[in-house]
Amino acid sequence: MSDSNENGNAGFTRRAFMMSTALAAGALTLPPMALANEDEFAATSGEPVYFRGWQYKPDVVQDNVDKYNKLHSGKVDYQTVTGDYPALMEKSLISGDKLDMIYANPPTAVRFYEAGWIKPADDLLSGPAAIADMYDKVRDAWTYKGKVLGLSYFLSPRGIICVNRQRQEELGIKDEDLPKTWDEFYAHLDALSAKGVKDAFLPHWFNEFYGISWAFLWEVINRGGTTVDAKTHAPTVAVDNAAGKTLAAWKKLWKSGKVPEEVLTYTEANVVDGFASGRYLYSCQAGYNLALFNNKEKSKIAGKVGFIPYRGQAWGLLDSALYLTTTRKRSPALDADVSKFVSFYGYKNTSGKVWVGQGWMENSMLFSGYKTVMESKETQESLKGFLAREGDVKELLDLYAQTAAPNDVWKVVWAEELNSWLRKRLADFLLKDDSVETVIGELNAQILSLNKKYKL
Amino acid sequence: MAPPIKEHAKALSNFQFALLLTLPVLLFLVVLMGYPLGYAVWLSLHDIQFVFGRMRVEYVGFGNYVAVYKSPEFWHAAWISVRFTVESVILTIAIGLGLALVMNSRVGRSRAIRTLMLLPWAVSLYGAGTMWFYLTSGQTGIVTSLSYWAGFDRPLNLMSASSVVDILALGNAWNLAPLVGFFLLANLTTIPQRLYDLAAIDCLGAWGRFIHVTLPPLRFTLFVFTSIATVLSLRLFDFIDVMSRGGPGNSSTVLPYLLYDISFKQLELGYGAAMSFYLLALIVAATLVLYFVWGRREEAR
Repeated sequence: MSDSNENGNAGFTRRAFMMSTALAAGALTLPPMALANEDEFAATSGEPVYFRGWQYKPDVVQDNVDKYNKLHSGKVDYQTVTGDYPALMEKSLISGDKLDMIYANPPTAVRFYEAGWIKPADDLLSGPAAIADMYDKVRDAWTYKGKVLGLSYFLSPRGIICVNRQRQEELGIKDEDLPKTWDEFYAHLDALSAKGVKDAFLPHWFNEFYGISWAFLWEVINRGGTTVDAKTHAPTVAVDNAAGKTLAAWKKLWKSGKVPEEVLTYTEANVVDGFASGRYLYSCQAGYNLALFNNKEKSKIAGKVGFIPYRGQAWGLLDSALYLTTTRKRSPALDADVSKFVSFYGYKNTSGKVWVGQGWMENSMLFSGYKTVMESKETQESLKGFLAREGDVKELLDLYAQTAAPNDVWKVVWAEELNSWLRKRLADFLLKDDSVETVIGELNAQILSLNKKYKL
Repeated sequence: MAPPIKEHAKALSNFQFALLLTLPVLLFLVVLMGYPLGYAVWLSLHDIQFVFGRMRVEYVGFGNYVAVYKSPEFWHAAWISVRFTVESVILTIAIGLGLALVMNSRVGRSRAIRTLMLLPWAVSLYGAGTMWFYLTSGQTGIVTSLSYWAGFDRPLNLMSASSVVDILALGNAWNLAPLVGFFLLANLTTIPQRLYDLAAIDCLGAWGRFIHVTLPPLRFTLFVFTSIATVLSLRLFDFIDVMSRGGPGNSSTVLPYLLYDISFKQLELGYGAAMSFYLLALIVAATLVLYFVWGRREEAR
């Protein structure tokens, strides 16, 4: 997002034009300057660079790190953080642990930036070039107070409704009859239930920081609503708008007994296993899990998993993660080493390829924020391999293009605190007899209290 | 001229001698425990917020203690803790006693069987939590497998709001009971055979032999392990975190889990510290009740 947008000016200002021109010029000139020489990434300080992230395919990450260390005499020390990542990482930063590069989702990045623990991507060796290579939507999602907070780790639509086409066929549901909106989807579930169809839906209501609370946020934006006002941060949730309708639909679904209660104790892995078992007809999932569901070694319904396409309403939110560079005190040589490693890992290698990002795309279907990756021939080919039908590639990219991040709430310093509150409150709301009015009232009060705490 | 030293002042009493021997350890403990305890007291008297990454501290006196006392969330977690602990202790002692009796029998004397019985105790709470989650969830659970085998077509979920605490208590007991069993076995092996012979002469049946011959020598060990299991269950966190994460909803949110959530996720350190003293009070009260109701009688025997 440019400065002008942050300030609320809708038009394309002269300043924005100058910035765009500068970025474009950077894109044209910097890669050859910065990346042509292999020594550009060579570590010189002899000190370790501490890289920490959550536990997603740590073997792949370790291989990537090993390759960097070998090629560029690096001393990168990589470890994973197991558990509630944003909270654990925040504690590490508060206590001054040695951290140089870390993963983060956008709301975490905003919080860490406000605390002064991370520095924007512009300062990195490949920062300007990488920023110029990002799609506008992605750059906007990762920009806070005029600064892009990090380099691209991955993007993916999360909350797409995966379809078990084997069961779809058995039940005689035609593609053109698939629901187009959330209201239609819940009505469709009711109709299936009336016909005696069981295990129709496994929702994304699992008990992790990106589980049930994110499911609420995306359903609100999918229905055209917001949780808070993007400028004033005042709550915008009400019983008769998208938030209230979402809660009412959830309560009805829960009370009907169509959803297994244990989903509230699940991790994401359990929800993925549940759908890969072939039991469920529909399930809300991260887009990249389509690759797993269509993999014979990991799924009982491989080759038979699709998703409800975009037909006027997006499904889910734009999930993404960045590589952040911390501001811990380092010697100038080590600081340069960190910049080199983050640039290598988060953008291009000495051959000018987005080596790590392209690898994630080809091996795990993790989308990238960079045009270089998403528009490459290799990406198009690998997408065909991950998806059940050739037509799914276009449908997925169309859906991805329409999927938005909940920037209204994720670009506020307290977003993670609200997320933690929502996670507990929404599960309680389903289990107890609380009314939609009660939860909406409490949500409003919680947002106001957070605004007061941070003097917003 | 120096005053004459009195004879009795030369020798240390037993208590003084014991104090002298344990003084280094006591000092070490005071330093090791005194600082964190004092810091926790200090935290509990302050409202501590992390705003924009910086700690904001404000003295609130006993405000945090009052806030905890008035919190429905706290009382709910306290009730779940008590329920979980009572169930855990009963199951631990019952299973431990059962294991001890089996290991003391002819069949149970096999080393292989004794090793097998001890194995659950060797499993880490993290590992036990993961295993029990997979055993009891509707999706992958053993009960679901059995129900399918019996011809039913629905998964049976034991991790529901109504049963999750019972399942957690069973898993906790599965982990603790082998240790209890081995200590009770040590007691059982000291019971002279002639007592059972005399019981046979008195025509006591199996139940009579158990109550009048087997149980009396085990009572002190049972008291000790009831106390230990109570304390361990009241402060259990990792098993619950792995298995249910306090859910569904807050159905299995015990006090240590709530403390973790408040102190380490929400970073409400002052409020969390105050709550931790309530937990400490609960643990002390539970052990005192056990001592006065049961322990003193065992000591008097």
